[in-house]
Amino acid sequence: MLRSRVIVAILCAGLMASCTTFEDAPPTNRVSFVHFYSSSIPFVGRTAEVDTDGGFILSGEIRHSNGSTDALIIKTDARGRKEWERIIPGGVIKDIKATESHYIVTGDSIALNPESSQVHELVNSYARLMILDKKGTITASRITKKLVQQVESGNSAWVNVDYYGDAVTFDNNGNILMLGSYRVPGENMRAYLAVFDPSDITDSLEHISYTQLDHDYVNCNSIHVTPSSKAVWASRIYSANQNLSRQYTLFPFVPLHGPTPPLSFDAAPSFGGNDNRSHAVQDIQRSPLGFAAIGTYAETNGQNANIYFIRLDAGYTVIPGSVRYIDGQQLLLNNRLLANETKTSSDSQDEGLALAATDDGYVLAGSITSTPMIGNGGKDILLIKLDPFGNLIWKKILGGSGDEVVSSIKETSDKGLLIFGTNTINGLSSMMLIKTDALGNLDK
Amino acid sequence: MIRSLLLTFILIGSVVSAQAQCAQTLRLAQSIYEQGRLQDIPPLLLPCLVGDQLSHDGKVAAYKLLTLTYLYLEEPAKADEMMLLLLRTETEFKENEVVDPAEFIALLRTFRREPVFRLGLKTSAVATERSVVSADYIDDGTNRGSHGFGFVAGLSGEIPFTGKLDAFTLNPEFMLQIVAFNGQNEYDQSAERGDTARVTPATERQVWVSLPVSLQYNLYSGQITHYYASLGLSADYLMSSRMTLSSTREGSSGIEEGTRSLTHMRNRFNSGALASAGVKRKIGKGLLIAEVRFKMGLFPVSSRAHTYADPALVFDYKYVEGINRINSLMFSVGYVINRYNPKKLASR
Repeated sequence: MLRSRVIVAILCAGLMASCTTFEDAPPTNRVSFVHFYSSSIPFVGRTAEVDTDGGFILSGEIRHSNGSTDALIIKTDARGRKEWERIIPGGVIKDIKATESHYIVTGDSIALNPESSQVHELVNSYARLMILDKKGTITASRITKKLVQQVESGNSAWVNVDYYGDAVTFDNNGNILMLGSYRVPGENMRAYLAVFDPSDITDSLEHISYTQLDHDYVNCNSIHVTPSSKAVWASRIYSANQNLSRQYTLFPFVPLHGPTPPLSFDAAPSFGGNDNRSHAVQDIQRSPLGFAAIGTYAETNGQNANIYFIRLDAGYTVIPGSVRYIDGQQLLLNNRLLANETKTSSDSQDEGLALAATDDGYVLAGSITSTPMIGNGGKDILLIKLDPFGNLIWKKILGGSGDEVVSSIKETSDKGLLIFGTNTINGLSSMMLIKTDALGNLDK
Repeated sequence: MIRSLLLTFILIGSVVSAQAQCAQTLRLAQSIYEQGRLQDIPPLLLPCLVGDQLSHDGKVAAYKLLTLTYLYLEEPAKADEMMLLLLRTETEFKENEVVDPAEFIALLRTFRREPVFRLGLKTSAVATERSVVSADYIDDGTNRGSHGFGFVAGLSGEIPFTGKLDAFTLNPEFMLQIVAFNGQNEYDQSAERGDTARVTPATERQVWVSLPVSLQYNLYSGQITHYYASLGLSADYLMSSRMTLSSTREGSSGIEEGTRSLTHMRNRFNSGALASAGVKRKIGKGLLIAEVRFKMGLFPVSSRAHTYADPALVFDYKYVEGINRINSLMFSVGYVINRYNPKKLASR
C-alpha cells in the first residue's frame, strides 16, 4: 500500500513538473508576429522604423479624454517586446530615423490655450526635433516657434505661427534634413525645410520657407534626398473649386544648399490636378527604379474611395501609364486591378495609406472597409504586392471585427514586412505592430 | 391464447420435473461412486447432461464426478473431455486441495484456467494542463495557464500473459476524452499612471478519441487484490477543439464572451506516453479497477502556422498562446469481466 501511495505521489508531482510554464518556455522561433501596445486610454500608432540592432522603434499618440495628446516612443526587441518606452507630454511624433547611436525624432509640440479669446490661439503647435540616445534619453531638443504681429479688429496683436515637424532624414553630408509645414494665422499651410548639424541642433544650418505657395500644402511623413542633393517628398494640395475642396498630389523636388533656392514648387510634378475627384497622397518611398507613392482616390466627400499608386523615375518625373487604381473588393474577389476607364468603380471603401519599396517591387498597405462580400468586419488591412512595373503579384487581408488601420510599412532585413498602425475595437484603440514574412503571411 | 398458456405451463412443468429427476440421478451417481461401481456412472449420468436437466451447480458436480470416474477407470481422454466441459461450465472452478483427490488436482492443472482476456468499461476524471514548448506573446503582459477538468470514458481490455511473463498484462483501451485547460493573459501597460489591466481568460475544450495501450506489471497479488504499475503509449485523434474567452478591462468596454472553433488550428493526430499505477479487486466474475494515470503529450497540439491564424483571437481578443503539449492526470475506476477459453495445455 505504501508503495502505491509513493507511486501516486510521484505521478502527481510528475504532472506539475512536466508542465513548462509560459515564463519558463523559450520564445517560438518564428519570423512573424503580432504585438499590441495598449492602455485603458486610446493609443494610436504613427510610425515604426527598423532599428540598427534588429529591433524596432515605434511612435504613437496617447489620446487623453480632455483632447490633449502625449507622444509615446517604444523601443522593442526583434519580437516586438517592449524594452523601454518614453512619453513626451503634449505632442505627437511623426517620423523617426534610427542611427547606430541615436534616434532622430520629429513631430509637433502642442499647447492647448482654452482661455484664449482668439480662435487660432486655442491650439498652438510648434515643430519639434529631438535626438534620443539608445536608452530613450533626450540628448538634444529643438522647438521651432515664431510670433508674428497681426492687426485684428484694428488692434495689433502678437500671434503664434503654427509649426509642424513632418519628416526627417539625412542629407548627403550627414546633416539632419527636416521637412515641416507652418501656417501663419489666416494664411495657407506652407512647407519649409531645415538642415541641422547632428552635433548641435540649437540652430539650423539652413532654413528654407516656401512662402510663395497659393494653396494649403500638407506633407507626407517621409522625405528623401537624391544623389544630386535634391530633397523630394509628396504633398496633398487642397484646391477649392466652387465650394468644394479637392485634393491633388504634388511631388516637390528642390535643390539643397543652392545659392538662391526657389521659394515655390512651380517645377514640381503634380498628379490629379485635372481630375474632378481627389488624389490624396499618403506616402512616398524610394525604390530601386526611382520613387513610388500611394494615396486615396475618392470623391470630394470621401465616398467611393479606391487606392491609387503611382511611380516616378529617378529624375522625379511621373512615369506615364504607371498609375494603378485598386478597389479592394474587386481585387480580393476577382484578383484584378482597375483599368483606367473604370478607376471610379468602387465596391468597397478603400484607403491607400503606406508603401514599402522592395528589391522585387512594392508592397502597398491600405485599408478596406468590410462589405457583405469581403472582410472580417470594420476596417481591415489590405496588403498588395506589385512587381517593379506595377503588375499584381499577391494580395492579403488582415484584421478582426474592429478597425485595423496602417500608418507605416517597412521592409525588414530578413525581407519581411513590418506593418504598424492602430487597432480599434469597442471604442478603445491600441498600437499594433505586425511582422510578416516576405509574402505577407503570419504562419512562419 | 389459453392453448399457449397451457403449453407453457406444461413445458415449465416438464423442465422442473426433469431437473428434479436428474438431481436425484446425480445423488444416486454419487452414491454409486462411493460404492466403487464406476462403470455404472456414465450411462446413468450422461443423459442428464443433455440440455438443461441439471442446474449450473448440478452440471458442475456431474462433470466433476464423471471426470473422477474416467480418471479411475483409466480412460484419460474421456477424463480430459469431462474436465474441459467442467471448466467451460464453471470458468472459475477452483480445486479444493483438502478434499479433492490428487489425481483430479493434477489433471485440473493440465488445463488453461486463466482468463484469456478481460473486457469492461472504464471512466476517469481528468485534470489537464498545457506544457509550453515555446511561447508567443501578443502583448507585454503575462500569460498564465492552469489545469482544467474533464471526463474520459470507454472500453478497457486486458490480455494477461502466461508462463514466464505472467506478471505482465497488456491493457489496450478505446477512450473518448473530453479535456479542458485554462489560460489567461493579463496586460497592465502602466499601473502607476492609473491604467487598469486588461484580463483575457480563456478555456479550451478538446474532444479526443484515444487508443492507449499499456503494459501492466503486477507488483503484488493477494487473494483478491492486485497492485500494478504500467507504462504505455497512446494514439490520439482530435475530434474538436473550441475556445471560450472574453476580455475585460475596468473602466473600458471589454470584448464579450465568445467561442471560437480551433479544430482547424490544431494538429489532429497526437500521441502520449502513459504511466499508471492501480489496484484491482476481484468482485464477481470480474475485476474492479482503480487507477491513477499520467499522460504526457509527446507532440505539440498546435504548430507555428496556427499561432496567429484566427483573426478574432488575434485582433479582437488579443490572445495567443504559442506552441503547447498537453499533459493529463487521470483518476479512473472501471470494471472488467474475465473471459475464459479453457483448453488442455500441451505440456505443463
